[in-house]
Amino acid sequence: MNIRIPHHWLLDHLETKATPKQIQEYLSLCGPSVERIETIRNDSVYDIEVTTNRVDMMSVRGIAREAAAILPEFGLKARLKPLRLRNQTSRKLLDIKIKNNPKLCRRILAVKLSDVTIGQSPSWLSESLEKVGQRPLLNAIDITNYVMWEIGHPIHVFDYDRLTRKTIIVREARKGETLTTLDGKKHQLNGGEVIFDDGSGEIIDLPGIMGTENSVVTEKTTTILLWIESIDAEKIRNASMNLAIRSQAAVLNEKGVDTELGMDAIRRAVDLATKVTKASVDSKITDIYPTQPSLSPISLDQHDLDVYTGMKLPPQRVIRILTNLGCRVTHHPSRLNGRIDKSGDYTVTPPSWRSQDLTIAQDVIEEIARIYGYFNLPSRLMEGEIPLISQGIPFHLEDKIKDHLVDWGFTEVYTNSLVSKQLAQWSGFALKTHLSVSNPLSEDQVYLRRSLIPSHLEVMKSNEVRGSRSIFEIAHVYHPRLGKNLPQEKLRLVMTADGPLPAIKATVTMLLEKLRINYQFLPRNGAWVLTNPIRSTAISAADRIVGRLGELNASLLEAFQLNGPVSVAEFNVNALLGLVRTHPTYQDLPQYPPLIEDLTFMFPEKTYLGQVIEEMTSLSRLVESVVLKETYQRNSTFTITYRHPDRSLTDKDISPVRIKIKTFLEKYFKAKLIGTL
Amino acid sequence: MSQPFLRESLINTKNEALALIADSKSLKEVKRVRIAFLGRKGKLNSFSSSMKDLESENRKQAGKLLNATKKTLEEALEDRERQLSKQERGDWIDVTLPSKHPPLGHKHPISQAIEEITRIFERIGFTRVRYPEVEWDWYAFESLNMPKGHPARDEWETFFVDHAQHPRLGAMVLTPHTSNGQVREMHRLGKPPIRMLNIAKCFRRQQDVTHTSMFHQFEGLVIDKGIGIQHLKGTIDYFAHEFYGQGVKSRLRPFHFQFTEPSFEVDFSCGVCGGKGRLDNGTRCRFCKSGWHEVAGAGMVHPAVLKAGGVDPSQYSGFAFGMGIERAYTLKPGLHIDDIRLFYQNDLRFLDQF
Repeated sequence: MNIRIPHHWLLDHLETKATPKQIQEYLSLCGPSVERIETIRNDSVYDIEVTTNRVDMMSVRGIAREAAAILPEFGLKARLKPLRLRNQTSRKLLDIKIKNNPKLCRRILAVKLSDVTIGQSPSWLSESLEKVGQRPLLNAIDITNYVMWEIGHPIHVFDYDRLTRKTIIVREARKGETLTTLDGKKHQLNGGEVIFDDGSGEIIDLPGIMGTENSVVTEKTTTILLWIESIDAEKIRNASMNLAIRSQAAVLNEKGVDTELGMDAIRRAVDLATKVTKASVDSKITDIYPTQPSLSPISLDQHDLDVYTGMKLPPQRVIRILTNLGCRVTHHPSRLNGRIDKSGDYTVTPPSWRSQDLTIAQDVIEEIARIYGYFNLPSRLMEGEIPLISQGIPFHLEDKIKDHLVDWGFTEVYTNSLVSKQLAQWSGFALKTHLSVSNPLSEDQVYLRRSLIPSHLEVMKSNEVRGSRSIFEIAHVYHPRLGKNLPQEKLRLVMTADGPLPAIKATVTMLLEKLRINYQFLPRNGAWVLTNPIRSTAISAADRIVGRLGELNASLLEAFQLNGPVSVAEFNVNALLGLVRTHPTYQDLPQYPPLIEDLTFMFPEKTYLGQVIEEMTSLSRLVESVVLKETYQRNSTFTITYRHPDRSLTDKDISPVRIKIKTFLEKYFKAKLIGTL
Repeated sequence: MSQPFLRESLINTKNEALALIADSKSLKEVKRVRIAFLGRKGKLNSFSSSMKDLESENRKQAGKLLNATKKTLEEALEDRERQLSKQERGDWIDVTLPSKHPPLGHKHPISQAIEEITRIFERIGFTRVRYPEVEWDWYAFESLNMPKGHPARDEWETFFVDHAQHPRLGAMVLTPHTSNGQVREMHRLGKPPIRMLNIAKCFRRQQDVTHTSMFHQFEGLVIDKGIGIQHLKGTIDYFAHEFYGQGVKSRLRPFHFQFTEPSFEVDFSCGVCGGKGRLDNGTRCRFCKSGWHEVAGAGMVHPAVLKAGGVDPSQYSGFAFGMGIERAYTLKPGLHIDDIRLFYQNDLRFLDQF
């Protein structure tokens, strides 16, 4: 969260000669990050990012406290000025009946002021508020905002006279109760929010978040009730989130503001009210504080500090740093005579405003190390044993696939895992079998995709001006599982390219060869909803379908307004990578010459010649290879290489093989030999 | 001139010419030889004039010899010319002509960055892992010291998946960071030492010039005995100069994360101005504005997270860091990408540049 702190206001609390530039640099290195300095009316205004755990720094005084601890480490004098508060009070008891519920509210402070002159704030006050980004309203309200920004504790002001029943009951809201906040918005409560009831059941405040319209100060107000409460932080958080009221008070209170700050805050408000609104104090300050928070000491072992910082910090330095941050420190050396004292070397008691974020030794180490300066710590690589147990995922093979495809002209894309309804519907899986996000950012990112292909078609379309497009991607698809199971995340490789099937098949073949995978193209298993079934094929390896490829069918082309043919190949990457062989099995180089001859057969139409070649090759061990030489109409000529590992072949040796081929092709492929044997 | 003398002289002239032709190094030289011997005032023509004095029979013979010599020289010249012109012109090709090569593909810059990052960390003993992108709340938040409803969760604009809650692990979410791998890695290995590099897709509900709803992070996690801030600094410094070049430094600034204590923001010094915020000519560096780039979140693993992973915090300590790959990559000097949405628009004109 970012807050704005004007330099001059900071100097009300911090005595230093440090320049805004120095404050920016040193605070950013050791404390909150000062992201910018803006100049407004001759004043430097710091824009500071304060992390959510440091609600104590979300105020001028909080930053002053931090600067007073940091600047001296850079040789700059700095001191937190004590808060000078006048001791104004009255003997009268507050005539409001307060019924607290200590489970909901840890402290209540209240004081009545009368003879209030409502009007505009003086310029010093309204300008200060403007610099921090708070719009000035009426003076009595501005005072409460001023105190919140200055001290860091939200404070509320009621119109005393509008609290007609003079009763405030702290209770949880019931479901369905309504209230109207001071900005005029009506809210229906979910139940469980902490509210103030005036005894009649009417809600007169949404404490810690925002005042209500029925009790707020108006221009007619003459008597006010300054009020502070400490509502349970989680209650504030839930109510503020559920009702979507993100006031500055809620933003602070949900982080657990230090209850100890309350007295300073209300006294500061009384001072300002008497000065600015000419009010007079008309009651004692009521303080309902059932249990004061106890501060838990933290043990810190010198050894742990040394491990975390990589060096030996002298105890005096450690004590100085922690003391400047408001901690109480006792130091008791523990390793005397080789004995290890379990209670640790330092006992550190944090100040009340840090009691929530300083609870364990590591919190204290952080304080010491950051103020000492992270830039002063050594930098070196770790020693020690290197863990070698991997998950067994072959990341380098994924990279290798990418390298090959890139070398062969394919460009890698990264498309979104979340897709639109339309893309999900074109995945080949029913829409209702997709997981979806319940809070999508936009309509085109709703479903967890089950196929990369529709996303690729979108990319093809958006790059239409380009001629021949060849793209690929390796990414997860998400298949839902029942019950207490996360979806299956399956890695897919999809290649998409302009052109008919043979072109993409050539690249697929090269890839399989390069990965040393034995593969087969199975035409009859190629049917696939996204592609034209008679122009598709499955890719089988080790008796498993590892992928498929084909030309997109007409309805898909039409849906994406693409001019066909467009071909796609899809692989199950895990199955594929499981079959990769990193190295071949060496085959002895042939010692004897081969016999090479051509045979021509006539086949029926729609014969799968890939299968013919495969069968011919496996008919005899003498057949080394079969290559399709040419095809003319229904005639196909094959170049057959015969070889024997141990001797030269003669025509007599291969004559029976030749007959076997002929007979086999005649029988199983209805082929006819052209010419004679 | 007597006939025998003339004959001898002619042969000498021929040999002289042949020698010169063979020695000639360029077409120009060949031409010079041609003029000297076969030209109008050339040496062979001077023989013709001296032959007029010979008797008819002798003249006839000498004429034949002269013609034969001329022919021989002519052939020799042409041969040599052909040879030289082949050398000088015939093998000439336009070596500047754009070549016809198979189309070039391009690896996506995110993949290039992931490979480079993997290589850098593997060198110092990190093991790359992969964990679910669709994750249980417990791994994404609760085990990281962020109980349900904790305000710190607001920092992550989390996508929730429409699916029944797990009784123990809570809601199903798209992981908003790679830190979901921390406790998973502790569970996988059972006990330290751990040096994990988790690179994954992450998802958050935001989209602008510096955010995309889908993005990538890499996360380092080191747990062992005696691990301190100095080791985080050492690792980050090593990465900075491996990835951006020698001279690039890192710095840690205090920050807060629920799952680390202490927590840091990590800045890298600007590669353009060298961390000074100003260029050599005194003008403000427009690449970094202040000399530093905020790149990563990091910290010492919170004891509660170690406990969630089954690691004893009294024995072990560790550090973790997480960085956006898009952000880390765009800081490469000279790259000049100021809108990371370009990475996911899949415009081939963009991808062709990588």
